Amino acid sequence: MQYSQRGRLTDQVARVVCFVFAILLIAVIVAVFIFIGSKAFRIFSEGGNPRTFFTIDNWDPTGENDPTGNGTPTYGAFGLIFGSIVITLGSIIIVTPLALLTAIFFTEMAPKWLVRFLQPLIEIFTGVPSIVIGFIGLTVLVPFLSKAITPVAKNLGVLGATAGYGWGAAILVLIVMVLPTVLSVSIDSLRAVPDSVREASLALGSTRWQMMRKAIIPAASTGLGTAVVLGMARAIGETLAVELVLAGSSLPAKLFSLGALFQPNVNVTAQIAQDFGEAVGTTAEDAYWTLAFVLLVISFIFICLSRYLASRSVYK
Amino acid sequence: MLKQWRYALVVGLALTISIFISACGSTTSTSSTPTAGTTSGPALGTPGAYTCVSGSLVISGSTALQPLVTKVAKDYTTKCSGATITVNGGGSSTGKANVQAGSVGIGDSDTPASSAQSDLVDHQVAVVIFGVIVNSGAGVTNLTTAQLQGIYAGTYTNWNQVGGANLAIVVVSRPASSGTRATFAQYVLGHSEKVTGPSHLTSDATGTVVTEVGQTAGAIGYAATGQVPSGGTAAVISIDGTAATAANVESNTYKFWNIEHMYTKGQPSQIEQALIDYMDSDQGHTEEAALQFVSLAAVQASSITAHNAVPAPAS
Repeated sequence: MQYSQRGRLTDQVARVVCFVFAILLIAVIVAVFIFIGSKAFRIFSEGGNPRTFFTIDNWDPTGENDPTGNGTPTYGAFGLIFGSIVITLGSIIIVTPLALLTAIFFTEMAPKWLVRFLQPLIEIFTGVPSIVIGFIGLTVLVPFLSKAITPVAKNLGVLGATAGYGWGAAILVLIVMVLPTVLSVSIDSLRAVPDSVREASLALGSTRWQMMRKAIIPAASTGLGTAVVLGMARAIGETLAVELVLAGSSLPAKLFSLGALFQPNVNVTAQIAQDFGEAVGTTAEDAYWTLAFVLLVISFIFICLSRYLASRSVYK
Repeated sequence: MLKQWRYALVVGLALTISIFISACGSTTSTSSTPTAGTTSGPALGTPGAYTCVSGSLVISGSTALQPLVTKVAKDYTTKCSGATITVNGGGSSTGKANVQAGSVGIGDSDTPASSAQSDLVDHQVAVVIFGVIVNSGAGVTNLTTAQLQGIYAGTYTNWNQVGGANLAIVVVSRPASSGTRATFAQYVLGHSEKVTGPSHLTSDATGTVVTEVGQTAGAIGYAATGQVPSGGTAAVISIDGTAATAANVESNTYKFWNIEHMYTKGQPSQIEQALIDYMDSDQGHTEEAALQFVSLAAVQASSITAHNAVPAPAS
């Protein structure tokens, strides 16, 4: 009798402790949103035009490039936001099928010894500091891309010497950074599918491929969706590595051409990293808070979208 | 079962407490208040003398001055084991903004503080020689001021327009927060940079500028000469026929140099003062020369006055 009473007591305590920790965490997350949100709209009462903020590509918070020479700042973040979206979507579109097929190989086909060898490697890779990958990108990938593009630079309308910088290099760098995360989570979610699903599918006479495609992937779709969401969140927030290989100051002239991938370019995080420190204490600081808020909102939209797609599971 | 919960509870409580402790701790440790008093050392002012102060100090700012401060701080902390000094980059404006905000003890800058930052106390520690660096493929070893102005205004886009190879010019800039960029605009160009588009790269630190100029065909940029390795694919060129040497800076015939400042908010604390003094010791001067800085005393006073008198261009 004593034991059951104590059991009930520890249950109570555990519940309270878990609840307190959950509240703490949620409070932190909400506080970050409120803090950034409270600073995000100030710029529009300090000379920022909310209409042109999202439509023109001229980010000049110091007024250095003001054609009239009066030093009037311009806040046009279209190019930055567009850049962030392009490299995030570009990398995730390539990463998703790669990660999915590799994960299927790992869980359904690969011999155990290979998995035991490769999976720790992949997990280690998720923790490689972004500056390391960025520097490899700058010193290896960028010169290589420049050399590869130079012969066709004229056809693409770009400059051979700088063709290695830009969205193309950024997307490749992001693929390397995001793939291990997406792959790890995908493997776990495929592994979590109970064997009864496999057995039932095979018992109904399906081939192995039919079993994977029609039974396992749908069963794991929520987990796979989460994998993609995590990948996107990492891609859109990635700063240092991307900054090193973007190295630009404005959007390319022809946005919807292949050449746009191979010239110095911009995104939100690189701009914040380069100039936020300098902007502290000036009006421009508020403009950077707005950018940070936009970044939060974009990743929020991405996450909602992926959650929605993942929720359309056949197992509902 | 019961035991497990007890452990969980204890661990949970320990975690919560440590979070609170570390949260409170961080607010005090980021500011650079020295914790202990001065240990006895030779008196200040005598050559080769230094005072050991224990405590911690964080420095940020100019990436041009960073190698010198890093080296001197390392020497200092080797001799004075009680001191911990962290040196970060970020750019001159970042350094001044950080020290004013109180997040670092000393802000390094290539450029003077603005009038709005009147609470910052200036300590001039050295003279830095900047150089225009050009990728070896461009085929130039000298450019005139007019040619540089043309390149940075976007008028010249190919090296054959300024007597070099038939190769497109790629301009590697620093972001607006850079003191090197401001010095270049003020003392060489006389106007701000106007190149954008595919022939323009922006790089966050002096070191990456050198890397990018070295690996990009037809690239031109600027950096502290001490950080440009000799014999690399990026070489320092002469401006108006004058080479970037210490002698030419001392006589002010070479224009592209500036005074390095270390700013403190109000009067420096003991450890801040000790490090600034150490910059001016014999050991500090040896490091200066090794990294191609010039000591302030070597430059004629009239040159320094003349240099400071040049007004900043209207941006």
